[in-house]
Amino acid sequence: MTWATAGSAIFQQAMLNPIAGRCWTTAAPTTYSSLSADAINVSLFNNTTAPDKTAAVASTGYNTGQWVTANEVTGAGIWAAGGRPLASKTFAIDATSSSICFGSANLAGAGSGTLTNAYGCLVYDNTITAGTVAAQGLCFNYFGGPQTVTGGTFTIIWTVVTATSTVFNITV
Amino acid sequence: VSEQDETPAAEAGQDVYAQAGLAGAQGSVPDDREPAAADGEDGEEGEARP
Repeated sequence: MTWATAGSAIFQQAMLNPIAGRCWTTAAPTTYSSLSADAINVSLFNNTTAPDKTAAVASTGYNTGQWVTANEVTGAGIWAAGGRPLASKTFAIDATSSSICFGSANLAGAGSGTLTNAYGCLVYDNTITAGTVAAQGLCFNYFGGPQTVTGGTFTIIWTVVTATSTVFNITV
Repeated sequence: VSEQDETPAAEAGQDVYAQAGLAGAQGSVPDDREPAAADGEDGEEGEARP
Protein backbone atom coordinates (compact mmCIF):
# COMPACT_ATOMS: atom_id res chain seq x y z
CA MET A 1 0.00 0.00 0.00
CA THR A 2 1.43 3.38 -0.97
CA TRP A 3 1.46 6.48 1.17
CA ALA A 4 -1.17 8.02 -1.08
CA THR A 5 -3.44 5.01 -0.62
CA ALA A 6 -2.79 4.51 3.07
CA GLY A 7 -2.91 8.18 3.96
CA SER A 8 -2.68 8.81 7.68
CA ALA A 9 -3.93 6.36 10.26
CA ILE A 10 -3.66 5.00 13.76
CA PHE A 11 -2.34 1.45 13.92
CA GLN A 12 -5.08 -0.97 14.95
CA GLN A 13 -2.67 -2.61 17.37
CA ALA A 14 -1.81 0.72 18.96
CA MET A 15 -5.50 1.37 19.56
CA LEU A 16 -5.82 -2.03 21.22
CA ASN A 17 -2.76 -1.48 23.37
CA PRO A 18 -1.53 0.87 24.69
CA ILE A 19 -4.05 3.61 23.69
CA ALA A 20 -7.12 1.73 24.87
CA GLY A 21 -5.16 -0.71 27.00
CA ARG A 22 -6.78 0.31 30.25
CA CYS A 23 -10.06 -1.15 29.02
CA TRP A 24 -8.75 -4.65 29.64
CA THR A 25 -6.39 -6.57 31.83
CA THR A 26 -3.84 -6.99 29.07
CA ALA A 27 -0.44 -5.86 30.30
CA ALA A 28 0.85 -2.65 28.82
CA PRO A 29 3.99 -2.83 26.70
CA THR A 30 7.17 -3.03 28.75
CA THR A 31 8.13 0.30 30.36
CA TYR A 32 5.16 2.07 28.81
CA SER A 33 3.87 4.75 31.12
CA SER A 34 1.64 7.15 29.20
CA LEU A 35 1.65 9.26 26.08
CA SER A 36 2.41 12.27 28.23
CA ALA A 37 5.30 10.77 30.19
CA ASP A 38 6.86 8.69 27.40
CA ALA A 39 9.12 9.98 24.66
CA ILE A 40 7.00 10.03 21.51
CA ASN A 41 9.31 10.24 18.51
CA VAL A 42 8.68 11.15 14.90
CA SER A 43 10.80 9.60 12.17
CA LEU A 44 10.61 10.42 8.47
CA PHE A 45 10.17 7.81 5.72
CA ASN A 46 10.45 7.58 1.96
CA ASN A 47 8.08 6.22 -0.67
CA THR A 48 9.51 2.71 -0.46
CA THR A 49 7.59 2.49 2.76
CA ALA A 50 4.20 0.82 2.46
CA PRO A 51 2.16 1.93 5.48
CA ASP A 52 -0.49 -0.46 6.77
CA LYS A 53 -2.65 0.32 9.75
CA THR A 54 -3.63 -3.35 10.02
CA ALA A 55 -0.05 -4.57 10.44
CA ALA A 56 0.76 -7.06 13.16
CA VAL A 57 2.08 -5.34 16.26
CA ALA A 58 5.55 -6.81 15.71
CA SER A 59 5.76 -4.90 12.44
CA THR A 60 4.65 -1.52 13.75
CA GLY A 61 7.72 -0.59 15.76
CA TYR A 62 10.52 1.68 14.68
CA ASN A 63 13.05 -0.33 12.64
CA THR A 64 10.58 -3.17 12.06
CA GLY A 65 8.31 -4.08 9.16
CA GLN A 66 7.98 -1.20 6.72
CA TRP A 67 9.57 1.16 9.22
CA VAL A 68 13.12 -0.09 8.88
CA THR A 69 16.02 2.34 8.82
CA ALA A 70 16.63 1.45 5.16
CA ASN A 71 13.42 3.32 4.38
CA GLU A 72 14.07 6.18 6.76
CA VAL A 73 14.84 9.70 5.61
CA THR A 74 17.41 11.60 7.61
CA GLY A 75 19.18 14.90 7.27
CA ALA A 76 22.57 15.54 8.80
CA GLY A 77 22.22 17.88 11.72
CA ILE A 78 18.50 18.37 11.34
CA TRP A 79 16.68 15.04 11.50
CA ALA A 80 18.63 12.05 12.77
CA ALA A 81 17.75 8.39 12.49
CA GLY A 82 15.20 7.59 15.16
CA GLY A 83 13.59 10.96 14.72
CA ARG A 84 12.74 13.81 17.00
CA PRO A 85 10.50 13.88 20.08
CA LEU A 86 7.15 15.59 20.24
CA ALA A 87 6.89 18.52 22.62
CA SER A 88 4.01 20.27 24.36
CA LYS A 89 1.76 17.26 24.06
CA THR A 90 -1.95 17.45 24.83
CA PHE A 91 -4.76 14.95 25.21
CA ALA A 92 -8.22 16.40 25.37
CA ILE A 93 -11.73 16.39 23.99
CA ASP A 94 -12.50 18.72 21.13
CA ALA A 95 -16.19 19.46 21.46
CA THR A 96 -16.56 20.86 17.96
CA SER A 97 -15.43 17.67 16.24
CA SER A 98 -16.56 15.39 19.07
CA SER A 99 -13.18 13.78 19.15
CA ILE A 100 -10.38 13.03 21.56
CA CYS A 101 -7.26 14.72 20.23
CA PHE A 102 -3.67 13.77 20.88
CA GLY A 103 -1.96 17.02 20.08
CA SER A 104 1.54 18.41 19.93
CA ALA A 105 3.40 21.50 18.97
CA ASN A 106 4.55 21.54 15.37
CA LEU A 107 7.84 19.71 15.10
CA ALA A 108 10.85 21.50 13.64
CA GLY A 109 14.21 20.02 12.72
CA ALA A 110 17.25 20.70 14.83
CA GLY A 111 18.54 23.33 12.44
CA SER A 112 19.16 24.14 8.83
CA GLY A 113 20.17 21.36 6.46
CA THR A 114 19.13 19.01 3.73
CA LEU A 115 16.83 16.03 3.55
CA THR A 116 15.19 14.51 0.52
CA ASN A 117 11.83 13.00 -0.36
CA ALA A 118 10.18 12.49 2.99
CA TYR A 119 6.68 11.24 2.21
CA GLY A 120 5.43 10.84 5.73
CA CYS A 121 6.35 10.02 9.28
CA LEU A 122 6.03 7.30 11.87
CA VAL A 123 4.95 8.43 15.33
CA TYR A 124 6.10 5.91 17.90
CA ASP A 125 6.61 5.44 21.61
CA ASN A 126 10.35 5.41 22.14
CA THR A 127 10.00 4.60 25.83
CA ILE A 128 8.60 1.13 25.13
CA THR A 129 11.55 -1.23 25.29
CA ALA A 130 9.93 -4.62 24.88
CA GLY A 131 6.75 -6.63 24.89
CA THR A 132 5.89 -7.82 21.41
CA VAL A 133 7.82 -4.94 19.94
CA ALA A 134 10.03 -2.11 21.18
CA ALA A 135 9.43 1.47 20.11
CA GLN A 136 5.86 0.60 19.15
CA GLY A 137 4.25 2.69 16.43
CA LEU A 138 1.15 4.69 17.28
CA CYS A 139 0.27 6.14 13.91
CA PHE A 140 1.65 7.31 10.59
CA ASN A 141 1.01 10.65 8.93
CA TYR A 142 1.21 11.33 5.20
CA PHE A 143 2.64 14.62 3.96
CA GLY A 144 0.64 14.60 0.73
CA GLY A 145 3.71 13.93 -1.41
CA PRO A 146 7.49 14.19 -1.31
CA GLN A 147 8.98 16.89 0.87
CA THR A 148 12.54 18.07 0.31
CA VAL A 149 14.49 20.81 1.98
CA THR A 150 17.87 22.09 0.80
CA GLY A 151 19.78 24.26 3.20
CA GLY A 152 16.69 25.22 5.15
CA THR A 153 14.67 24.14 8.12
CA PHE A 154 12.12 21.35 7.96
CA THR A 155 8.99 21.54 10.06
CA ILE A 156 6.05 19.17 10.39
CA ILE A 157 2.77 21.04 10.66
CA TRP A 158 0.14 18.92 12.34
CA THR A 159 -3.46 19.19 11.24
CA VAL A 160 -5.42 21.68 13.28
CA VAL A 161 -8.63 20.31 14.76
CA THR A 162 -10.54 23.37 15.82
CA ALA A 163 -7.66 25.13 17.59
CA THR A 164 -5.43 22.20 18.44
CA SER A 165 -2.49 20.91 16.40
CA THR A 166 -3.38 17.25 16.33
CA VAL A 167 -1.31 14.17 15.58
CA PHE A 168 -4.24 11.76 15.83
CA ASN A 169 -7.80 11.89 16.99
CA ILE A 170 -10.53 9.47 17.90
CA THR A 171 -14.03 10.55 17.00
CA VAL A 172 -16.75 9.49 19.39
CA VAL B 1 23.72 27.73 -17.68
CA SER B 2 24.26 29.81 -14.62
CA GLU B 3 24.74 28.41 -11.16
CA GLN B 4 21.45 29.97 -10.20
CA ASP B 5 19.67 28.01 -12.92
CA GLU B 6 21.13 24.72 -11.69
CA THR B 7 19.93 25.31 -8.18
CA PRO B 8 16.58 27.07 -8.21
CA ALA B 9 16.59 29.90 -5.70
CA ALA B 10 13.08 28.96 -4.72
CA GLU B 11 14.35 25.75 -3.10
CA ALA B 12 17.86 26.32 -1.85
CA GLY B 13 17.84 27.87 1.57
CA GLN B 14 14.08 27.89 1.71
CA ASP B 15 12.35 26.52 4.77
CA VAL B 16 9.89 23.70 4.20
CA TYR B 17 6.71 23.09 6.14
CA ALA B 18 5.28 19.62 5.66
CA GLN B 19 1.57 19.46 6.33
CA ALA B 20 0.93 16.14 8.05
CA GLY B 21 -2.36 14.42 7.51
CA LEU B 22 -4.50 13.66 10.52
CA ALA B 23 -4.44 10.07 11.74
CA GLY B 24 -7.93 9.30 12.90
CA ALA B 25 -10.15 6.61 14.27
CA GLN B 26 -13.85 6.48 14.91
CA GLY B 27 -15.47 4.96 17.92
CA SER B 28 -19.07 3.77 17.84
CA VAL B 29 -21.36 1.29 19.50
CA PRO B 30 -23.02 -1.25 17.19
CA ASP B 31 -26.77 -0.89 17.36
CA ASP B 32 -28.48 -3.96 15.94
CA ARG B 33 -31.56 -3.91 18.13
CA GLU B 34 -34.83 -5.02 16.61
CA PRO B 35 -37.28 -2.21 16.08
CA ALA B 36 -39.52 -1.73 19.11
CA ALA B 37 -42.56 -2.58 17.02
CA ALA B 38 -41.27 -6.11 16.56
CA ASP B 39 -41.73 -6.89 20.24
CA GLY B 40 -44.78 -9.02 20.89
CA GLU B 41 -45.31 -9.96 17.26
CA ASP B 42 -44.95 -13.59 18.21
CA GLY B 43 -48.01 -13.44 20.39
CA GLU B 44 -46.06 -13.22 23.60
CA GLU B 45 -47.77 -10.08 24.77
CA GLY B 46 -49.61 -10.66 28.03
CA GLU B 47 -47.91 -13.95 28.81
CA ALA B 48 -45.76 -12.58 31.58
CA ARG B 49 -46.39 -14.20 34.96
CA PRO B 50 -46.28 -12.28 38.23
